[in-house]
Amino acid sequence: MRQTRRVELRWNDTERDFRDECRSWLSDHVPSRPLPSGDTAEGFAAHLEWEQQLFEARWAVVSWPERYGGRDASLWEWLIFEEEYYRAGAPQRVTQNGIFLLAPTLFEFGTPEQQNRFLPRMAAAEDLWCQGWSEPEAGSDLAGIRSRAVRDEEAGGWRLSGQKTWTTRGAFCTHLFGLFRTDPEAERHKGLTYFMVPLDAEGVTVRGFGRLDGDEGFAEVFFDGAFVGDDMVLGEVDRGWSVAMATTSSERGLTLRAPGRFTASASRLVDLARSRDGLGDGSTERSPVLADEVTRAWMDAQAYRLYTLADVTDIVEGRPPGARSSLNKLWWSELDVHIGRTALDLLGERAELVEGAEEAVAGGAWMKAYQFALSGPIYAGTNEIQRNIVAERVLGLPRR
Amino acid sequence: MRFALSDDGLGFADAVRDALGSVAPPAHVRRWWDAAETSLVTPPFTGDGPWQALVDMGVVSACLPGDVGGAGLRFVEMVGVCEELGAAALPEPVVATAVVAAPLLADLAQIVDGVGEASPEVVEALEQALDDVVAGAAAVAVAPQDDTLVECADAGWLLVEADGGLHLVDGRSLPANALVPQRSVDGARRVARLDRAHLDLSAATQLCGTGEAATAWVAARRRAEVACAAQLVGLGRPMLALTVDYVNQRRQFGVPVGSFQAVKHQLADAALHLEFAVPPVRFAAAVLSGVEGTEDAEWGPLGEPQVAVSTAKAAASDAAEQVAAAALQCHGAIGYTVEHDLHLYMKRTWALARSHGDAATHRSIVATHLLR
Repeated sequence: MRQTRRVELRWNDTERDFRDECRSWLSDHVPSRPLPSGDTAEGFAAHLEWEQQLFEARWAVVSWPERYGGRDASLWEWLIFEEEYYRAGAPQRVTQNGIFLLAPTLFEFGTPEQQNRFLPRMAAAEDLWCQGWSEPEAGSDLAGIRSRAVRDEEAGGWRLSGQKTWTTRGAFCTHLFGLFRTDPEAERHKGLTYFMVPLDAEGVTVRGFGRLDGDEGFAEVFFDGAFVGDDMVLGEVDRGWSVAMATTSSERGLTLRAPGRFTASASRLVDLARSRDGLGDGSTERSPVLADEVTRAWMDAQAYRLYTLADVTDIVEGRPPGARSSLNKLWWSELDVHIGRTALDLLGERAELVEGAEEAVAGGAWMKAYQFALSGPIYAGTNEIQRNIVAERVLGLPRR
Repeated sequence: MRFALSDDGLGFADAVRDALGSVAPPAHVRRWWDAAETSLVTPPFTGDGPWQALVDMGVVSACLPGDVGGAGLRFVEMVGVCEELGAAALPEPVVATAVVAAPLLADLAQIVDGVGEASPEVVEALEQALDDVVAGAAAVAVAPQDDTLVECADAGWLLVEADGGLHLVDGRSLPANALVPQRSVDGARRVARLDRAHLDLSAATQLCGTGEAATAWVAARRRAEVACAAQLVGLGRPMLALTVDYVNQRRQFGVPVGSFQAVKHQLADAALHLEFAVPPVRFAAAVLSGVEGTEDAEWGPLGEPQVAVSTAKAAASDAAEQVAAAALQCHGAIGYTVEHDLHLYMKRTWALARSHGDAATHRSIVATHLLR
């Protein structure tokens, strides 16, 4: 007879030990001063060093198998790691597009040869991956991709041509993963293939450009007959859409945005409200409206935390979220903007002061965080697209 | 870690949903509306109605300990049931009796027993009240301390706090004007104003001092807040489902209106807020039930019972109201009629969203905890 399942809100001993180990390592190693932004050339190098440190201590990819540098951590332990990581104020992860977006796809669709070749170097931050989805004419309408891959039978591979854009950290990465059209006759979602491309290949040109938040991490990538071998195709030829969709659901859902990130931001927002830079003592009396905004943000972060615990329970018990991951993406991205905007309101006129200004609070970090947050409702499928997905695939409204 | 309803709690909620589907359809709610046209007296509970069905299923007495005839269920095992009672917009005072008053009666019985100063009359009344819950012979209401409304206007028993004491009063022999029915926007609700000056409170009705029962009293209030929140998230579901059906079938400009993005996005937002209100409600129920692990310092302020409760009620009130607003707008004119069932759920939502504390009040409670 099956055992009756109960509500359980206790971390078991293994999970507690994992948290302790993680917390103590982070407290010994997290740089006391924040690193310069990972989306600048100087900051990127500092972040690489940090990633190598994480890798050596086996904290870079906790949920991966041990043979690739991970700890075989369960989803629960992964949540704990993320909670501790952001609580400790550890640096942003410049490797994240590889380890959180490409890696799950490699685990699912990659050949053993591809896994052995790419995963360890990715974990060690030796290869740095950026994502090549968007094109000038294919943003939200991702199936409108025009970049092409033409068969080169003689050389045993493919010749890539076309342009990718809005490629985050493209200017600093070594490799790109993305979709190219392999069957020019096929319509939209069909005839696309998922490729992995070294950015130093002949015929690839990367041009960086400035982002809203002042960093130069964005890039457009041009392909002019660049050659990649058959071993750089992930999954089947012409079946790239379904391979890519596996990645985009990781991006919208759990793996890219664990709740620890937002509960940590919300706690900092509460601290800011209580500090002299915010409202100071008696915050609730001094500005009930702002205190209410802080409280809303904190509560929404807690709701995300609890929603994720329920989500992981469902995944562990074999009830995958499917299209509901679009709900996640809407929630965390809009929560993040709300946290940022509320912090700016607390700072008042000093909100505009950025790094370098003496009067800036926390080196202008809140404005920086706010600008970063503003990208959330845009990337990984705009929130308008997510709302369509929720309406059509979760609620069952007609597509047209 | 396992954050989902227990198999028992889920099974119970499913069984209640199935039962209510046949004994408490919208037509049943409308009968309470119709009765209110002539009198605000609660319609009698009939043998084939939902009250008796829920008594027979053991819902009403579920939270009483086994030795007095209950099932000894914790509140966390009943939160899914509360969601279903909300989803049916059930007019009968099942939530107030089963999860708020009944466990309080049981707590008070222990306190009274321990203190040993209560009059024989009130001790006997307490036993009778417990028996009535088990038999389903009477609803029990808890009258809050201040001037708030009593949610169950014709309760067989009334627990009242007054002048430093907790009293148990027989609701069937109340003096005139003690409990004055008030007409609600929701014609299926029976709320009343309690006028303590007209109650015959004395040593003969006093169970114990408020101090002795303070913990039990606060626990009951918090259960009432979370149970109300659970009903609100439950109410959101039929409102959303009715709307999804309607916008799929209603055609304008040659297409279903549900194909327009303006409609899709409103409903997606409503669904989003409803989905994210459920976990805080269930978590608060777990905290109130002392589920193992909820005392862990890792939860931070969320682990404090009142913070968990107020977070749940604020989220549920806002979410259900958002669903109601989107449902009305997406139904268009048909939703603005009393012929359509939507208003039965919507008006209950308006009432419950503010009953047991509105969203802003609960956020200000959380704010005090966070920012003090």
